Amino acid sequence: MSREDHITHEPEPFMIIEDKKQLKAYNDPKLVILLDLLRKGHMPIRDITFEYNKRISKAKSEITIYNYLKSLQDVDLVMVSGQRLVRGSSATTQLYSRKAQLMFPMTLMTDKYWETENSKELIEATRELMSFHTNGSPAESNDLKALLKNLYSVPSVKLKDYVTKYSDSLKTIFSDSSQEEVRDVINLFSLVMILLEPEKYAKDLKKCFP
Amino acid sequence: MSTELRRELMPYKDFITAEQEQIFILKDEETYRLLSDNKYGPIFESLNAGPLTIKELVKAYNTIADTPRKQTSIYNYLMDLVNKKLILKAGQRIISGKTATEVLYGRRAKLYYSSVMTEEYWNTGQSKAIISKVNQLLTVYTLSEGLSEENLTSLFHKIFANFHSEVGTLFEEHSERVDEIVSPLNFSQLSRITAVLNMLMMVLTQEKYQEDLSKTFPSKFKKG
Repeated sequence: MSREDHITHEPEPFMIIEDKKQLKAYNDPKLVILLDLLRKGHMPIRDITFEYNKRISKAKSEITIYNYLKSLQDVDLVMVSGQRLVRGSSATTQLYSRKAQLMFPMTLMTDKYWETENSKELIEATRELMSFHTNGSPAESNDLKALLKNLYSVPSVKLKDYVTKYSDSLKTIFSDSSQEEVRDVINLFSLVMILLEPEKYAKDLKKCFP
Repeated sequence: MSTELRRELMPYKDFITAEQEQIFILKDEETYRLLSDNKYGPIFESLNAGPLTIKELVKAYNTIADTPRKQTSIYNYLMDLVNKKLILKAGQRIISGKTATEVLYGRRAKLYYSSVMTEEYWNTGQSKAIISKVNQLLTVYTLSEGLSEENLTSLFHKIFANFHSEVGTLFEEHSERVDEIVSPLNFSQLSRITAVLNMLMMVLTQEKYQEDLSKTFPSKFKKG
């Protein structure tokens, strides 16, 4: 049967994921499969379910896949991008697509994170664990917070600029990458960014670990 | 007195046959996913205090978990973890007056942390594909030409090998205190802490990577 796709929303070229809810969905193993397979383009739920079930051992129903898609839509990682009309049929089918062709997860802790209650617990545990490592007294909480904030802001700020400036090159580099590969590449890239700019955190480092 | 209550009050003795390891490093993505999955997390948490029978585990699981589950479901989750060797059959419980014993399940290690980037990882095709992409990003970032993938692999290999060795020593030498600090944490909090420790240990021992950095980015580290 011939069909016609009416696309109303094209995905953006790239997006940076740093919102907590988006990151949670992005890191959810069952949802990341959907993001991966939607790289193929605009798809109706039937095709999505078919492709999804090829990648897992226990088949999921269309209803389950619909709920997964809904979770991704709720956090703005997936959108209804148009409708498919099959000739002879009076009803159309919704088409889904990713919100952006390339998605870069900022798994690094952002400035906002260091103001949360969770980060306080992390800092306290890290202070003590690091004091075992250095055989010294634990760093002051505020000093350690400043160091970590500073350390993570190097790649965080630079990555945003970089992704914006070189979006075309990145599209080529990551054209065949899974979401997990993108995450690993970005993490390793960030480590080198930090090592290449020791002067940015040298003072804070010395204050914490004299 | 109900039969169940009577059974619970019966004297018993636990025989622990499997020794718990201090640390277990998760080396593959699939296992990492299991621990990050909400349905498995409460099993690890329930077994923090020591081995339990399936009935005790179900009770503890449903006090912790957001969604209560049936014994059959929890048993199936438990078996997934046993098959992955993340949870062990830790021993048996002998109940006075009963011929049948009950299996006790326990954590394989006090602490699990994930790092797919272990020694063997750097020889895999997957790591080669990742290094090639990091290399392409760094070429643009540092405005350098022809960065060596071999040097880059060596740099990452050293960073992660150093981290695994340092964190291993830290956890072994201060096992009791470390255990107190990390046992209340869930897997995602623990992943975060290990990432922060990795970062801090890396910047504190930068001199170890200087040679590899100079080799990888010769134009950035020109002498004089």
